[in-house]
Amino acid sequence: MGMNSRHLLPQALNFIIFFIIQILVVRKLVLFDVAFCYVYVAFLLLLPIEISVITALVFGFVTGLLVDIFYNTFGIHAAACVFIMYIRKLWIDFLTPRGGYDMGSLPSPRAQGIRWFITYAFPLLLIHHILIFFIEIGGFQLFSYTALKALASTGFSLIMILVIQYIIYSSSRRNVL
Amino acid sequence: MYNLLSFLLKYRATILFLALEGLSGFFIVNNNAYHQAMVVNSSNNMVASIMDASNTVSEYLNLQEANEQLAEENAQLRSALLGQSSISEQAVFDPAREDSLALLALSQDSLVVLPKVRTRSDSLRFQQYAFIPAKVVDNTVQNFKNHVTINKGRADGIEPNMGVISPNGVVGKVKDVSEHYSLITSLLHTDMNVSALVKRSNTLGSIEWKGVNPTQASLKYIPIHINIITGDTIVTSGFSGIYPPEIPIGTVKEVRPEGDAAFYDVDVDLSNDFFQLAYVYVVKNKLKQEKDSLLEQTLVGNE
Repeated sequence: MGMNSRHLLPQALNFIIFFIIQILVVRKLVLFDVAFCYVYVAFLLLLPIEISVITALVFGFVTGLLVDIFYNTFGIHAAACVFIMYIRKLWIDFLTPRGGYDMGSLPSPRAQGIRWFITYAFPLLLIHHILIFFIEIGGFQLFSYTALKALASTGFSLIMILVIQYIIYSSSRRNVL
Repeated sequence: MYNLLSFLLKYRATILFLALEGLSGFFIVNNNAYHQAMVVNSSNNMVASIMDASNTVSEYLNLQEANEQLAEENAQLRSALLGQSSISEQAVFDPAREDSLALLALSQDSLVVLPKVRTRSDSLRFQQYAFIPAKVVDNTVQNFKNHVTINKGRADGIEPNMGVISPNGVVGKVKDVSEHYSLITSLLHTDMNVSALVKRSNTLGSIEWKGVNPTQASLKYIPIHINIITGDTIVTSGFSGIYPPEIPIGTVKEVRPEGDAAFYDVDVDLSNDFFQLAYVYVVKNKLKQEKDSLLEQTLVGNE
């Protein structure tokens, strides 16, 4: 099932917001030299629940490549995004609440609750970040340092994703998120 | 046939997944070769101008720092210029100096310097290298593979593999160029290595970055019979022709014997502050092509 037109505008807005924040605001934001901020992943995490794996993979690939251009890491973000987009559907199914998801609902903190969202987003972000850092160094020669980078960055990204959604939600009455 | 189609249809998501991962992997592995064909990094004109614009604020904040650096460099150049003119005035024959100059010329692999034309050797060496000044548009230090983007490109005569230095020392090597911007592999890149000399003992080694501390690198291949101590100055050797000789790299911080190996493990404090990089020079070696083709001829001739 593709993305229906009801979702098209909010998703396009989501993409623009998170991409612009990623490139212009948090691109060079690094806490304590280890915590990087990859908020753009939120766009992929917040895609509607019912989109097909095929659509999700294509979105992941394109988004990853666009980010790669700005980070001089051609292919790395694409590989990580494609991977989490492949397992996203399985993870969403696994986390199905009693009674199932409402038709057309989004995997957002607002629609599913903040606890559900953190349970959903944290492992996917962690896998994405682990892939980014280990592919970048190309091995396990600095294992604990690379793992620390991945873990610290996951925490930082998750907090920033929640903050950005909160700011956007509270400043707009539109049904964006 | 029907079975094959139904298989493909059933696993189409997995097949697409594998295909996209394969493509990403191909991009990652062929990163170097691919860049030349199609500019898909921050040296891309549009990408670089976005970065340039978004950096304007931090640039103003760093203006004072950059000014001080340039003023200091000016002062150094001025004193060097004074020193040079006074040397050329004393035409006294000095065999020791003659020898050291000849040695210097050899080590700096400037092909044209003859011992007799001592007073000219400096100016000849100077002309071998042209320096193209450029402004840093983007720079990272905390990744494993860091890059610097500058605002000069092919139109200004920059080509891949040229060296990049700042008043404080070695910065990196040009990886890719677009019309008006260039991408530089920073010294802070785990695949980078720079041919280096311990200045006091003229020992050749190689500078590599380990990936963690942006203020330190390690000097490899210094044999344990060499006397090397904390505070020794490390400079470029100039052998590769990418950097001029004697460009500062750093000073030795700590020397450790590396287990039972034949080499020391040397930590070097980098002379360049990569956090504050604002202006750099791209090094154009006018004799590099000549040297490379000569080397190639020799190699072919030996076969």
